[in-house]
Amino acid sequence: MTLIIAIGVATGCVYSLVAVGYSLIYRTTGVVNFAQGSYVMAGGFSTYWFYEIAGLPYPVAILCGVGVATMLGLALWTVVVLPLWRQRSPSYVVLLETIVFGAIVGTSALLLLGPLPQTLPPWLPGFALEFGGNRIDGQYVVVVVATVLLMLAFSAVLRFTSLGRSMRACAASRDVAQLLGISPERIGAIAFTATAALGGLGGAMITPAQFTSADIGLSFGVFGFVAAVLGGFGSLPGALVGGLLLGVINAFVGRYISSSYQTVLAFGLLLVLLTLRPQGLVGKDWEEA
Amino acid sequence: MSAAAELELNGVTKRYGGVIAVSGVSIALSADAVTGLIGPNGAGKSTLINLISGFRRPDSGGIMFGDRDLTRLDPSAIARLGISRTFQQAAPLVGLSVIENVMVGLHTRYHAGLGSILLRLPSMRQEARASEQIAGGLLEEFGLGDEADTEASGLPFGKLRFLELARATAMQPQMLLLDEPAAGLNRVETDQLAALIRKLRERGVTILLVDHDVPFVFGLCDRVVVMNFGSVIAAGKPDDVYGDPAVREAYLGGEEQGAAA
Amino acid sequence: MIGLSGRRVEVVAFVLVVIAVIGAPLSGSRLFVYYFTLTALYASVVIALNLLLGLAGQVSFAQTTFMAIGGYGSALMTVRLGWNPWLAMMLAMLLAALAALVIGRPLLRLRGHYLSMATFALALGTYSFVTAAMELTNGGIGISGIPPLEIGDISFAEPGMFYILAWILCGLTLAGYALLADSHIGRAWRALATGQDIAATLGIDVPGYKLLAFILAAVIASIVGSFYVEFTSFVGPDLYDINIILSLFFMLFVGGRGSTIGPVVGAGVVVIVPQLMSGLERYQNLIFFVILLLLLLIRPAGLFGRVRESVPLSAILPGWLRASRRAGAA
Repeated sequence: MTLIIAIGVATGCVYSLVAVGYSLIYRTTGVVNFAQGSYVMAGGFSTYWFYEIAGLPYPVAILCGVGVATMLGLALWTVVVLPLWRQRSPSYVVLLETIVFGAIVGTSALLLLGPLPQTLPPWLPGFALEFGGNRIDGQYVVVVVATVLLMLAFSAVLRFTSLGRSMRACAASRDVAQLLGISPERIGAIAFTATAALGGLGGAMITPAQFTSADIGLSFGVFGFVAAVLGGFGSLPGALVGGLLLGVINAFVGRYISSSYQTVLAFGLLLVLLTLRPQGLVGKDWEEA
Repeated sequence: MSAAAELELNGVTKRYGGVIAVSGVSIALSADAVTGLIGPNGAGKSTLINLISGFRRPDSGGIMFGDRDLTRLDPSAIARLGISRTFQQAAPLVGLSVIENVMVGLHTRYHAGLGSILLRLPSMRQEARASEQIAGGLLEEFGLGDEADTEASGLPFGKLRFLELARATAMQPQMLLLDEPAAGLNRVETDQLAALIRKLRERGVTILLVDHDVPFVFGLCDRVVVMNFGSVIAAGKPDDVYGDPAVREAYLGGEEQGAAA
Repeated sequence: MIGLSGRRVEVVAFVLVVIAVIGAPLSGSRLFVYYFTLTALYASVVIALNLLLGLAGQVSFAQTTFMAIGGYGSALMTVRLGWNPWLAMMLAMLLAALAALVIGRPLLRLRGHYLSMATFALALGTYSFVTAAMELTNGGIGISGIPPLEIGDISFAEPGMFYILAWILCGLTLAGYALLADSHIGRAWRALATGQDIAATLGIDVPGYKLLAFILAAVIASIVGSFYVEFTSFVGPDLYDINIILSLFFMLFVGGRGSTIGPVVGAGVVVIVPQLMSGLERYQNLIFFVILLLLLLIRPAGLFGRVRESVPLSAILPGWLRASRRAGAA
């Protein structure tokens, strides 16, 4: 039982990181980025490559792995979203393009690294928690602690730095922000890069506890998205709440029903949320007819 | 045309957060007449039009069109009762041509159902031909005959206003709510507009005209209502209202900044 | 005006398509007949999507959901219950219409992103569901042995006969689209796509019309879903996976949204071109995705689409900027 909760909370943390990505990008650029999940895959899978295949020292491999994910985020912004922005493309075209980008990343990973799942060594070897008679893998704890720290750091940046203020200005109104001398395009690039790094780090962290493979991108993207909507799309505290909640629910569904029903449940939940309460648990009212 | 119904507002109030946009407004619009609604910016004029046309719901008070209460109805239901309106921004339906815009205005006059369209029944084809003729006639009347097939969003601003009016008229409404139809028009266009509105009145359409152009309103309307700060401060024949001290006070006592009507 | 007669290029394309459709079976090539049959089926779904998205402006990723209702519905009713395939198809169609009615009402109240996301969730959820619900759908294994459609002595299992059936369906769908697009209903859809408020003040029941488009698209998708599984006598989750969801949009965009013949040409391109690249099967998906990505970036109007975007610049500007533009123009 405790183990299920631990798994749920840890994976939930990764969902939160993805959800934060969705919400931040949506608030600052108005884009819904369905490639968010592919950063998780890229972070984990390329770390595997750097460590196992290229033979780099583990910490370096992790940095490189996160770096790959970050580069992907920047690429998505520069090559896809920015041109579409400039063309004033309808929002669903941008959405579609992010989906396609995610699919490209996933397919490329499949071609380059093969279909088999891989795993990585734990960050703190031998570390484990005894809790209620159960032995909980230390990596789960690492994930939770790291996520909490990252979230705090993120909030601090948003609240106290001028960059954070610029981002909040863009989130409130892109045009007013422009008048204030803020470049929405620069903010967009930063948002995409930062959220990609977050996702990549999440992937690198969770892989030792579970596994990574070419096709987890869609799954994390979906669950992260549901988490974001659950907490209130665009709300950062909501992303955390939604992620943890979904992680735990998923863990229980996976244990007591079946893992294939996890996705069904997630989509069902999403559909219900979007039609009945699009503003989620924490968030405020968004566009509705 | 059949006699137009009266519109009655009783104690209509609308608040936005802490701001009272419209407060206890009671007006009666007489049939087949043009009633003008004027007032400084922020007086509540556009809110009133939004309330009547169903885009906003009043917090209290009633809006009766004949014996129908409009306050519970959504905009398309109100439109189908015979009340048409124009918008301040004179936005055309983008992607449709000028004549198509007007034909959308004819929508409520079509009776062909899905079946007759798919089977191309003679009744449907006849209706389609007749509509094209009606639309063409309307365009001529409103001075848009030459632009029938051009993309509507490409029209110069003045013509957009006339297109909007033509489209709203196509519905054969019993009542027409005009939200600043003269804004942005030059002298010549304003006179043309006035002539068209007079023609509509002769056809028995009840008209509520909101505008800032005081000579335009006073020259055209049978009755004028003046609003300020959400309330009616004067109502009556143009000459009477013109001399009303409260009205002078409202207009001479300083222009309102900021908020749109 | 929309309609085949309106644009010369589309007329030429239409003629070429007719020639190709007549020519394929005459050429004696079974491969051609097979691919053209697939083209006809997918084209029908995309024509319906074009009605919903291109005319009425409602972005729905959920056509595969209704294809699945048709496909699995037909499969289950014929294989498990032993019913007549035509009856099964019609019942599945009714089921799809009902589902569209029930889901559509709340769904279509959503605007912009939320509608896209909700329908995307619906489509992916459908895939997950048919994969997971082993007892009902046999999961990833799928259901085989679906009996073919027959009329008297004619069995549509025969490729030549099915070819005719598929193209009759496509032709009827295309005709239906063209007739509706040219009618007051088509104009009502186009009106609510660009100016929902204006449409409402002209007496158009906006939610009702959105729902009508949604249901029509669902019904066509369901019929195609049934036809498809009758054709191949097999149904499985992969018929409704992310690749198909994206393919439908690919076909729509290649052909051009809002055009009439576009979906047919788009379907043809997406079905046939990958087959010409033999030896590259491993990379097929990747190439497909990359081309789609580039297409939307470089030529979003596709082959026959209108170049003008349906979102005017003025609709994106905030109020104060719009006012100063207006003052400048007056």
